Amino acid sequence: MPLHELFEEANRQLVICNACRYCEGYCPVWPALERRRHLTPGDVAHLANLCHDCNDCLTACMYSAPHEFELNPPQIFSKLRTDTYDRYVWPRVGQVRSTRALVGTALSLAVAVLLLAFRLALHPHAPKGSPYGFIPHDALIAVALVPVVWGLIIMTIASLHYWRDIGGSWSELAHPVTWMNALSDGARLKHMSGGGPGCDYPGDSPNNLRKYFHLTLVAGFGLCFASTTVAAIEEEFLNRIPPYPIISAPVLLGLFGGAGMLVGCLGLLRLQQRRNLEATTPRMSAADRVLVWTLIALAGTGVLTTVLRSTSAYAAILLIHLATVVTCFAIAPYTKFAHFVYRSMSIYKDRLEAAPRN
Amino acid sequence: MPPRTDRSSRYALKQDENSAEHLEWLRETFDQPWDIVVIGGGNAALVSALSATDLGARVLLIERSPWSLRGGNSRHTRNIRCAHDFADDYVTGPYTYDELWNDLCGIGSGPSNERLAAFTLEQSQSAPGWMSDHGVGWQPPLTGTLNLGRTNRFFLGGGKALINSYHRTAERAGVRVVYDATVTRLLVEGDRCSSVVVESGDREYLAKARSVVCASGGFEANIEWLSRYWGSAAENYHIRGPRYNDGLVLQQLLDAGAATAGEERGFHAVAVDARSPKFDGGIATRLDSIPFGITVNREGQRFADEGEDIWPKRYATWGANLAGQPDQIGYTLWDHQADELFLPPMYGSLSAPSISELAVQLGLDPTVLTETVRVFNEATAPDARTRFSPAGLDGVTTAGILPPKTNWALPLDKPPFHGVPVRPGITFTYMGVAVDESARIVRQDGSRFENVFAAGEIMSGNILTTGYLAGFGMTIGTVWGRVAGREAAQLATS
Repeated sequence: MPLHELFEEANRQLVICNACRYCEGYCPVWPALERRRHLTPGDVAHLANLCHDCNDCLTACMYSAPHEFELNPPQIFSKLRTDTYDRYVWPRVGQVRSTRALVGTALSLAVAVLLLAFRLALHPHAPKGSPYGFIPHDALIAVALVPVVWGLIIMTIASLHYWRDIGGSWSELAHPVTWMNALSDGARLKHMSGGGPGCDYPGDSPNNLRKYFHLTLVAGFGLCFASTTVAAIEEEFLNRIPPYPIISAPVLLGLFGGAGMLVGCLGLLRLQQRRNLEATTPRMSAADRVLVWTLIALAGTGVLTTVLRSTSAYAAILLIHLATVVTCFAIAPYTKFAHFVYRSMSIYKDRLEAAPRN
Repeated sequence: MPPRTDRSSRYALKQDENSAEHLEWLRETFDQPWDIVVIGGGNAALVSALSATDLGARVLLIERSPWSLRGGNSRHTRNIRCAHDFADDYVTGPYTYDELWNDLCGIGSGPSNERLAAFTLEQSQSAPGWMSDHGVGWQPPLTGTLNLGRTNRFFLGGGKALINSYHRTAERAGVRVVYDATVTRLLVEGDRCSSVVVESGDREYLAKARSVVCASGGFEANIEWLSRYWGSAAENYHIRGPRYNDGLVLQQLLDAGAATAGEERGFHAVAVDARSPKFDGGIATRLDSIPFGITVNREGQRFADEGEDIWPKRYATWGANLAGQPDQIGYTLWDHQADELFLPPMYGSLSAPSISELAVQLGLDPTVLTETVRVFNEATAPDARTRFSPAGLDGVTTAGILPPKTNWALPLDKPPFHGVPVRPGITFTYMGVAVDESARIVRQDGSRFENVFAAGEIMSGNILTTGYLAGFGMTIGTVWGRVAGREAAQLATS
């Protein structure tokens, strides 16, 4: 659907919502709508990204189909969010538009990195269980850092464009306390709670399963990140070279983190299979699946690397894991991974707007 | 554990109504005798069903609509008005029995049956707790609800969410719900009714029960019935709820000798956008602009005090005000300075830089409307703008015109000017069956039906005469649903 049609449809629905307002207890989207009598494309993008897709407004709506008003906010918000994910990253190719494009990117990158890694693997000397047996330390850092830096640049530019488009000004960005609150709201999924009882997801009864799986996934991701950070500190500053013992911070954090990510991912996948499809779009579902499978690959290979590190399969699995890490970082801005950036910006904006004015 | 989905709803959704499986399920349902048949699918019906299952009764609920439109008028509700002595998380202050009683006496011609009205208020005090116990969620007063935040409790997500919650609770309690089913006849013998004829698909079934609860609403969607009292004017009314409220069960009861309660022309009606659908427009089509401008009829003349009281207290008088005008149409006008003082109309407004151009857009006589606005503006106070306060009664009144505007009387002189055509939108009719304190339906000879009960809008005429208090329909439905369900269950299981 072209953007102007998307906006027209969102505007049609949201004008009815704004004349009704029954949903205002569910999440901040509706109070934010109440502050806007005339909507712009930036406004609807902001509302769409503020939406945590809990579906409660749809199940509560007396105007959903077969009523002639045919309201379906979760679905129109999904369409708008995929538009956001497409719009702000550079270069604008494939992106969440097509699962195939993404898988293609992932595979080609993986192959490239693998080839590189195997060539480097000819390096013969290093203790067993250490990555540097296969890849020189500096090469590893370089291969990992390039996509990370690339992703950070792309997402920073994207988020600033998004911020301007939803009506934010540069000076408004400088409120550290609001930032902390907003990031905390986002990390805790405060707004994925349907005003208390939970989300009508995947069916039509409120529950908190998706929230808990998502929190588990994010916490697991955080632990893996912590594991890497701790390892870097031990190595750079304490001169402790891997392999680390099982009972050590990097290994334990990594194992628990990987397990958390896997539990979260598999739970989310299972819920998504049973989801009420009327409340979403095929594109968003595909984007969700791509992201979750990417994270499963990331966490799964990571856990395997640790488990198999004293076996002969170590070299192969390590290289696959490293290739996966690099690929994931490289494609992150083009997958739904980026959703938290726009959502954080919108939560921040909402906190600024909703703050009591003196 | 996977989340529970509403199995009965899933079942109903997936069933082709003529599939062998569904027909078998219907046959099995109607083959067994039930303790109680509840006719209706709104708030009063579900409360009756839950109240009866609390006492161990087996309940069959016959819902006229398909699953996707279930809940009757209750789908469009949002809050309930109950008496309470203290503030809590969901009400901002005390609203005592006496204050609610005064409010009830202050609308229309007061309560229709003072004894039953007093009983309703008394019982209202325990209603919110009972509702919470049966799955209803609440929301704290927010911007959109603050003006009723002390007196009314708001359902989280509104009436359809409440209906969904009650259905989940009912499903756990074993209530069986048949959707898309119409009760066409009550088989009454003497003072008892032990079976009702149910039409579903193109088949007829007999539902057998020891007690029958009629919670099937008023007759507001039956234009022919309305026109018995309103003449051809009824054809111009909008019906805010679903088409199913045609009074079929009410008619059966009256034919079986039930006494009526309430006035024939009694109803709760508000001003709705004339451009909205004839049926089921619900809350989004109502207009809140009236206190902040003027409202004229087809002839371009004002006809009522637009600033009589704060809107939540007076919005319900405008249905009748409009019903009394030629062609049952009005035009609510405001200017730029009032544009942000009320909820935005869902179809927007017609706008023009001058009153006469706006008149042309609205199809009114430009000369007459310009004159009406000129006369009104001259009658406003010179310091009106400095004293104007939209938050409460500001006493900013007109002088020397009839009808006066007794609050918020600012001149309409800041272009652009806006207008919306409005019509009466009927929420529900009051005339129904008379009941006693056990919710048993009373007969014309003064005796009672032994096992036929009524709850909700079908018996609201026992309490309301002409006026309406926001959220009070849900009070009636909840209080009397609890009584009807309890009494029916006690009779059926004794």
